[in-house]
Amino acid sequence: MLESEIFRALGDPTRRAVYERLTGGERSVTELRAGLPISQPAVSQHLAALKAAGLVGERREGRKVFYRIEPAGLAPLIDWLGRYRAFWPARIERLRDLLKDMDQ
Amino acid sequence: MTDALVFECDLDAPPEKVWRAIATPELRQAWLGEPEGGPSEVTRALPGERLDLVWPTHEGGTLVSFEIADGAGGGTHLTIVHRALAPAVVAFKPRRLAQAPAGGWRMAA
Repeated sequence: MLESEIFRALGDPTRRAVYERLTGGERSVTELRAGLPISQPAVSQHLAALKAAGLVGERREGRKVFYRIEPAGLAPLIDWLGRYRAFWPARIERLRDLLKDMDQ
Repeated sequence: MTDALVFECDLDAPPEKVWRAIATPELRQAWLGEPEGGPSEVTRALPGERLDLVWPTHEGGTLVSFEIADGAGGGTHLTIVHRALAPAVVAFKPRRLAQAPAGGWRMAA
Protein backbone atom coordinates (compact mmCIF):
# COMPACT_ATOMS: atom_id res chain seq x y z
CA MET A 1 0.00 0.00 0.00
CA LEU A 2 1.38 3.38 -0.99
CA GLU A 3 1.58 5.81 1.86
CA SER A 4 0.23 8.57 -0.34
CA GLU A 5 -3.00 6.55 -0.57
CA ILE A 6 -3.73 7.48 3.03
CA PHE A 7 -3.63 11.15 2.19
CA ARG A 8 -5.78 10.62 -0.86
CA ALA A 9 -8.28 8.50 1.03
CA LEU A 10 -8.78 11.07 3.76
CA GLY A 11 -8.79 14.01 1.35
CA ASP A 12 -12.37 13.21 0.32
CA PRO A 13 -14.90 14.78 2.73
CA THR A 14 -17.51 12.00 2.47
CA ARG A 15 -14.91 9.27 2.93
CA ARG A 16 -13.60 11.23 5.84
CA ALA A 17 -17.11 11.29 7.35
CA VAL A 18 -17.39 7.51 6.92
CA TYR A 19 -14.01 7.06 8.58
CA GLU A 20 -14.93 9.32 11.47
CA ARG A 21 -18.09 7.30 12.09
CA LEU A 22 -15.90 4.28 12.65
CA THR A 23 -14.07 6.05 15.47
CA GLY A 24 -17.15 5.16 17.54
CA GLY A 25 -16.48 1.43 17.04
CA GLU A 26 -17.24 -1.38 14.61
CA ARG A 27 -20.13 -0.70 12.19
CA SER A 28 -21.97 -2.42 9.32
CA VAL A 29 -22.48 -0.64 5.97
CA THR A 30 -26.14 -0.05 6.87
CA GLU A 31 -25.18 1.54 10.17
CA LEU A 32 -22.53 3.66 8.48
CA ARG A 33 -24.94 4.93 5.86
CA ALA A 34 -27.58 6.09 8.36
CA GLY A 35 -27.85 9.87 8.22
CA LEU A 36 -25.47 10.27 5.29
CA PRO A 37 -26.96 11.58 2.02
CA ILE A 38 -25.32 8.86 -0.08
CA SER A 39 -26.33 5.43 -1.42
CA GLN A 40 -25.20 2.13 0.06
CA PRO A 41 -23.01 1.33 -2.99
CA ALA A 42 -21.35 4.73 -2.53
CA VAL A 43 -20.61 3.91 1.13
CA SER A 44 -19.19 0.55 0.02
CA GLN A 45 -16.97 2.33 -2.49
CA HIS A 46 -15.63 4.67 0.16
CA LEU A 47 -15.01 1.73 2.47
CA ALA A 48 -13.10 -0.05 -0.31
CA ALA A 49 -10.88 3.02 -0.76
CA LEU A 50 -10.29 3.25 3.00
CA LYS A 51 -9.44 -0.47 3.10
CA ALA A 52 -7.04 -0.09 0.16
CA ALA A 53 -5.30 2.69 2.07
CA GLY A 54 -4.90 0.44 5.13
CA LEU A 55 -7.10 2.71 7.23
CA VAL A 56 -10.02 0.33 7.70
CA GLY A 57 -10.33 -3.42 8.28
CA GLU A 58 -13.32 -5.75 7.99
CA ARG A 59 -14.74 -8.77 9.82
CA ARG A 60 -17.31 -11.14 8.35
CA GLU A 61 -20.03 -12.68 10.46
CA GLY A 62 -22.21 -14.93 8.29
CA ARG A 63 -23.55 -12.66 5.56
CA LYS A 64 -22.83 -9.48 7.44
CA VAL A 65 -19.62 -7.50 7.20
CA PHE A 66 -18.42 -5.20 9.96
CA TYR A 67 -15.88 -2.46 9.45
CA ARG A 68 -13.42 -1.06 11.94
CA ILE A 69 -10.51 1.36 12.06
CA GLU A 70 -6.98 0.01 11.63
CA PRO A 71 -5.07 2.22 14.09
CA ALA A 72 -1.65 1.54 12.48
CA GLY A 73 -3.01 2.93 9.21
CA LEU A 74 -2.67 6.48 10.48
CA ALA A 75 1.04 6.22 11.28
CA PRO A 76 2.24 8.07 8.14
CA LEU A 77 -0.20 10.89 8.84
CA ILE A 78 1.07 11.14 12.41
CA ASP A 79 4.69 11.18 11.15
CA TRP A 80 3.86 13.98 8.75
CA LEU A 81 2.09 16.06 11.40
CA GLY A 82 4.96 15.61 13.83
CA ARG A 83 7.60 16.66 11.33
CA TYR A 84 5.77 19.73 10.07
CA ARG A 85 4.72 20.89 13.52
CA ALA A 86 8.40 21.65 14.07
CA PHE A 87 9.11 22.68 10.48
CA TRP A 88 6.77 25.67 10.14
CA PRO A 89 7.77 27.67 13.24
CA ALA A 90 11.42 27.36 12.12
CA ARG A 91 10.56 28.54 8.59
CA ILE A 92 8.54 31.46 9.93
CA GLU A 93 11.67 32.57 11.81
CA ARG A 94 13.63 32.39 8.55
CA LEU A 95 10.93 34.44 6.83
CA ARG A 96 11.24 37.10 9.55
CA ASP A 97 15.00 37.24 8.97
CA LEU A 98 14.55 37.50 5.22
CA LEU A 99 12.01 40.31 5.57
CA LYS A 100 14.57 42.27 7.64
CA ASP A 101 17.18 41.84 4.91
CA MET A 102 14.88 42.64 1.98
CA ASP A 103 14.83 46.13 0.49
CA GLN A 104 11.65 48.08 1.20
CA MET B 1 -9.00 13.78 13.80
CA THR B 2 -6.41 16.28 12.64
CA ASP B 3 -5.06 16.22 9.14
CA ALA B 4 -4.19 19.87 8.80
CA LEU B 5 -1.73 22.13 10.53
CA VAL B 6 -2.52 25.80 10.96
CA PHE B 7 0.02 28.43 11.96
CA GLU B 8 -0.71 32.10 12.42
CA CYS B 9 1.82 34.83 12.99
CA ASP B 10 2.21 38.60 12.91
CA LEU B 11 5.06 39.90 10.81
CA ASP B 12 6.72 43.26 11.20
CA ALA B 13 6.55 44.09 7.48
CA PRO B 14 3.78 45.40 5.19
CA PRO B 15 1.57 42.87 3.35
CA GLU B 16 3.01 43.86 -0.02
CA LYS B 17 6.51 42.95 1.12
CA VAL B 18 5.39 39.68 2.71
CA TRP B 19 3.61 38.81 -0.53
CA ARG B 20 6.86 39.32 -2.46
CA ALA B 21 8.75 37.11 0.00
CA ILE B 22 6.18 34.35 -0.51
CA ALA B 23 5.29 34.69 -4.19
CA THR B 24 8.70 35.44 -5.75
CA PRO B 25 10.27 32.02 -6.41
CA GLU B 26 13.86 33.04 -5.51
CA LEU B 27 12.82 34.79 -2.31
CA ARG B 28 10.50 31.94 -1.28
CA GLN B 29 13.28 29.45 -1.95
CA ALA B 30 15.59 31.45 0.35
CA TRP B 31 13.48 31.04 3.49
CA LEU B 32 11.29 28.04 2.70
CA GLY B 33 13.44 25.72 0.57
CA GLU B 34 11.91 22.75 -1.20
CA PRO B 35 9.93 19.76 0.14
CA GLU B 36 11.53 16.35 0.66
CA GLY B 37 9.20 14.57 -1.78
CA GLY B 38 9.92 16.53 -4.97
CA PRO B 39 9.64 20.11 -6.23
CA SER B 40 6.79 22.28 -4.99
CA GLU B 41 4.39 23.81 -7.47
CA VAL B 42 2.21 26.90 -7.28
CA THR B 43 -1.40 25.93 -7.99
CA ARG B 44 -3.11 29.22 -7.20
CA ALA B 45 -1.99 32.78 -6.70
CA LEU B 46 -4.29 35.63 -5.68
CA PRO B 47 -1.83 38.54 -5.64
CA GLY B 48 -1.48 40.10 -2.23
CA GLU B 49 -3.91 37.64 -0.66
CA ARG B 50 -3.20 33.98 -1.08
CA LEU B 51 -0.73 31.53 -2.55
CA ASP B 52 -1.32 27.77 -2.75
CA LEU B 53 1.54 25.34 -3.20
CA VAL B 54 1.48 21.61 -3.81
CA TRP B 55 4.09 20.32 -1.36
CA PRO B 56 5.08 16.66 -1.90
CA THR B 57 6.17 14.90 1.29
CA HIS B 58 7.44 11.37 2.00
CA GLU B 59 3.92 10.46 3.07
CA GLY B 60 2.12 11.87 0.05
CA GLY B 61 0.74 15.00 -1.52
CA THR B 62 0.07 18.00 0.69
CA LEU B 63 -1.14 21.50 0.04
CA VAL B 64 0.29 24.59 1.68
CA SER B 65 -1.75 27.80 1.64
CA PHE B 66 -0.33 31.15 2.64
CA GLU B 67 -2.97 33.75 3.47
CA ILE B 68 -1.98 37.36 3.90
CA ALA B 69 -4.01 39.99 5.74
CA ASP B 70 -3.37 43.45 7.14
CA GLY B 71 -1.87 43.27 10.61
CA ALA B 72 -1.57 45.76 13.44
CA GLY B 73 0.57 48.86 12.91
CA GLY B 74 1.04 48.38 9.17
CA GLY B 75 2.31 44.85 9.65
CA THR B 76 1.03 41.57 8.22
CA HIS B 77 -1.01 38.75 9.66
CA LEU B 78 0.08 35.54 7.96
CA THR B 79 -1.82 32.27 8.14
CA ILE B 80 -0.20 29.06 6.92
CA VAL B 81 -2.46 26.03 6.41
CA HIS B 82 -0.80 22.72 5.56
CA ARG B 83 -3.11 19.83 4.73
CA ALA B 84 -3.31 16.48 2.98
CA LEU B 85 -4.57 16.72 -0.58
CA ALA B 86 -7.84 15.63 -2.16
CA PRO B 87 -7.34 13.03 -4.93
CA ALA B 88 -8.35 15.39 -7.72
CA VAL B 89 -5.50 17.72 -6.88
CA VAL B 90 -2.78 15.14 -6.34
CA ALA B 91 -0.76 14.45 -9.44
CA PHE B 92 2.74 13.55 -8.40
CA LYS B 93 4.75 10.50 -7.49
CA PRO B 94 6.81 10.78 -4.31
CA ARG B 95 10.50 10.39 -5.01
CA ARG B 96 10.64 7.70 -2.34
CA LEU B 97 8.72 5.35 -4.62
CA ALA B 98 11.89 4.98 -6.66
CA GLN B 99 13.42 3.10 -3.71
CA ALA B 100 10.29 1.12 -2.87
CA PRO B 101 10.68 -2.65 -2.61
CA ALA B 102 8.93 -4.85 -5.17
CA GLY B 103 5.23 -4.82 -4.41
CA GLY B 104 5.37 -1.30 -3.04
CA TRP B 105 5.37 0.04 0.49
CA ARG B 106 3.35 -1.74 3.07
CA MET B 107 2.34 -0.75 6.53
CA ALA B 108 3.29 -3.11 9.32
CA ALA B 109 0.20 -5.18 10.08
